[in-house]
Amino acid sequence: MLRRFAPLAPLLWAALFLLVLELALEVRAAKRGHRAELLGIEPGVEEPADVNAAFGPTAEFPFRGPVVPAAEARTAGALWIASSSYAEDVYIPAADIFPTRLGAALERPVLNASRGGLTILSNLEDLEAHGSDFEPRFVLLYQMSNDLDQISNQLAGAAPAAAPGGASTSESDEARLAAGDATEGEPEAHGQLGFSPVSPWIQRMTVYRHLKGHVSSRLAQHLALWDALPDPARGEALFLARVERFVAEVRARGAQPVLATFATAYDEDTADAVPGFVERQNLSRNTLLSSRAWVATFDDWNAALREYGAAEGIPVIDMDARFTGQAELFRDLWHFTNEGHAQAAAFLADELGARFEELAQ
Amino acid sequence: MNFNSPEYLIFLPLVVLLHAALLGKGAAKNRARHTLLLVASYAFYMSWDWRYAGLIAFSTVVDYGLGRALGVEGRAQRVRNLLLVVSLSLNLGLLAVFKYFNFFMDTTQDGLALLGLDVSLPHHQLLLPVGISFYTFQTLSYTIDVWRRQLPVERDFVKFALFVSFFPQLVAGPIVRASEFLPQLQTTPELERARVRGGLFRIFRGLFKKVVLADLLANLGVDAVFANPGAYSSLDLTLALYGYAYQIYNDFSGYSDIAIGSAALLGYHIPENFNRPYLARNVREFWTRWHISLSSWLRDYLYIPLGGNRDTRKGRTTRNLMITMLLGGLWHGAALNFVLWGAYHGVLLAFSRQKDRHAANAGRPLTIWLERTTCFHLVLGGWLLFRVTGWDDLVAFFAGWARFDLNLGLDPLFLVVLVAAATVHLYPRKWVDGFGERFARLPAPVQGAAYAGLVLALCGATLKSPSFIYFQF
Repeated sequence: MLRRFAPLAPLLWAALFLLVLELALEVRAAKRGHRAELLGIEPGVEEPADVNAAFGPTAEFPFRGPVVPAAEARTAGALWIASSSYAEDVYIPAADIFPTRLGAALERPVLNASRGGLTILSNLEDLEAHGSDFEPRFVLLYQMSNDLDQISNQLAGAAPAAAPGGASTSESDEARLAAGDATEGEPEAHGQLGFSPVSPWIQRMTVYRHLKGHVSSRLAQHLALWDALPDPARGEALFLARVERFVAEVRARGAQPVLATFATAYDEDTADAVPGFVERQNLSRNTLLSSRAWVATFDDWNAALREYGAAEGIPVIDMDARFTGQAELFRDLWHFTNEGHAQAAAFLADELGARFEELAQ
Repeated sequence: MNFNSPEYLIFLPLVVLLHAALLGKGAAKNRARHTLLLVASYAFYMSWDWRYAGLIAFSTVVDYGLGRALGVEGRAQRVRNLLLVVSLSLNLGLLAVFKYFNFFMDTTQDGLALLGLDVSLPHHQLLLPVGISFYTFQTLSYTIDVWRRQLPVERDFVKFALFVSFFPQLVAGPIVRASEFLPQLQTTPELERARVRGGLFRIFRGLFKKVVLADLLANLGVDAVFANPGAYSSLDLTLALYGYAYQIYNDFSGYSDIAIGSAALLGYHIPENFNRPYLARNVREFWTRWHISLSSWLRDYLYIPLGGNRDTRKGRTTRNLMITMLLGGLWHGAALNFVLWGAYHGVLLAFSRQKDRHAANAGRPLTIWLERTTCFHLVLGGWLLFRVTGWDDLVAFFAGWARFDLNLGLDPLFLVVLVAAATVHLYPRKWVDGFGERFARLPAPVQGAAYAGLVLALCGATLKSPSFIYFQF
């Protein structure tokens, strides 16, 4: 019986070699505090046992920060932070990230509903899932790069360059894009029509991440990258549509939305000074945008966010004006260093504290 | 599920292992194996869009039923002709609705607008089902061959359904004729070591062509230049056009390699689709080397029935060539540039025929290479028509060339990949096959290590990972 599989032996050997390589790299990654998918190790800094006990996420408290009973959060007027890895950096102790520091400074429970890779739409899902339990009084939205990543891919799906061979194809892509808009503006991978159950799992493999980080990103530096979105107005409209949906949901829950502009280590004037490793880090995930495109689009979207906030009467905290360009406070293009988190917390505490008083009156 | 996706790298070995477990003689094992492949093929197709499985199933049921009806002994020829017309109408009708309806509406609307009639004609929002052009031609080949009494009727529905939907070539060919595939289902395939290992080598060769050569050419220069030709120098435009010629070749022949290799792992033979087309000495020869399964299909089921070159009346052969190539162009897509591309090749073929009548077949190396270079550049002109997305882009190309500006704006890595692609194409076939055979004789762990390394390299080289170009046809 087994002999009939003998001709397939090279395939089995190849699979074995890849498995061994993955496990070896996972052991190394786990020792350095990174995720190890097959070994089942989650990423992050090792925190003292007493701290772990007091910090989420737990089964009842799905946020990274000091655990607060739901009843207390409801009565104390908690602040919900809807963000991503910018506010939940797994490589910085939970006690040091800005949402935790902010809670201490404001003396108010903070529900840090941020996880790596979230977008505004996934923040919205979190709010829908857990908002009723904790009933936050204020909801701060601090998001941009993950949404830009998605929206740029969405625009690439409709760009002529991605539709070789005739106008009819780009028209059908445009129609799909329009259909996507109608259903919450969710992006579709270009060219793909169906489901893709294996890819996300493969993408969590250490080997895969090494290849993307060290090989693909270097190759991608040779690509003809976009220095701006191909259709900036459409990109901005898609972003604002997400913000509007989020704000509507917050208001529907009787909470006060607060927006924050997005801060980056470099601005348009210094975009060419973005270090190679930072550029490669971005290219390992998004092979469309140059560093200039990232910061230029953030600049445009920040302006749009300010305008939107002013028009809607929503407070906008200008993180961009306060921090953008101060590369020493960031460990890459948009993740704060430990010191950056401390300063961000202090700034937000000042801004929010004043606004909470205004809003309370 | 693209051939260059992680899903396929898991799906294929799984199907191959299950299929190998069911190998053995006997009707029950054959039935189980065919059913497994049929289920796998539908799963593969439904991973693109499950809704279109109904369409391929409908096509299968219709042609199976019509085939059975055509095979009834003593059936009057008039009735048989009618059955053929029904098959052609249904299959081509579906193709027309999904692929060409909007194009014809647009063209009619534009034509009426030229006459001053501002009319808004209806359009549908249906997506083009992946592979519809390929499987439609496959099923038609069956019905026509049965109608011609050149092929016995297939009475086993599972076998027929598998012929229509066999996943390695379902989405983008090669177009496998019933006469080539159905006989293979009557026997038990052998999982021979040489064939399996040759198939594995072929799959990785195809992946290399697609991921390293085709996609890098697209990502490093071709897509950017064709998206905005006005922004590039004459030199960049020329290099991008060369790049596209090698991109589309490596993209499509890479797909065919993976299809042929995947079928080999299951013990089936799929015909070759390419034979180093850019080494053709004239356009006629090019069409015997490029997308062979389509060109031979068009020859046997369209050009020859139209009269081919047998009709000696003046202009008849040229007419037949033009009709065949125009429809061949339209087969690629519902857009004017494909029609123009077909017409362009029709004219070249007609001219090539005239020239062949008078020219002696000179065999000196210099002459051969001169002919090859000329033919390649004639084909290149066709690729420009094929790739541009509008008149403005075409004009921008010619305006760019007229500037005669030799600044190199493309990344040097693009040139490296372009040279590599040209070299791989020129590489003598027997060298590649010889290397494959020697590689297949290496110990399994050595081959496994090489394949593991190649998987890593391909994974690292995958950047934007566009779909195969021919998926849209």
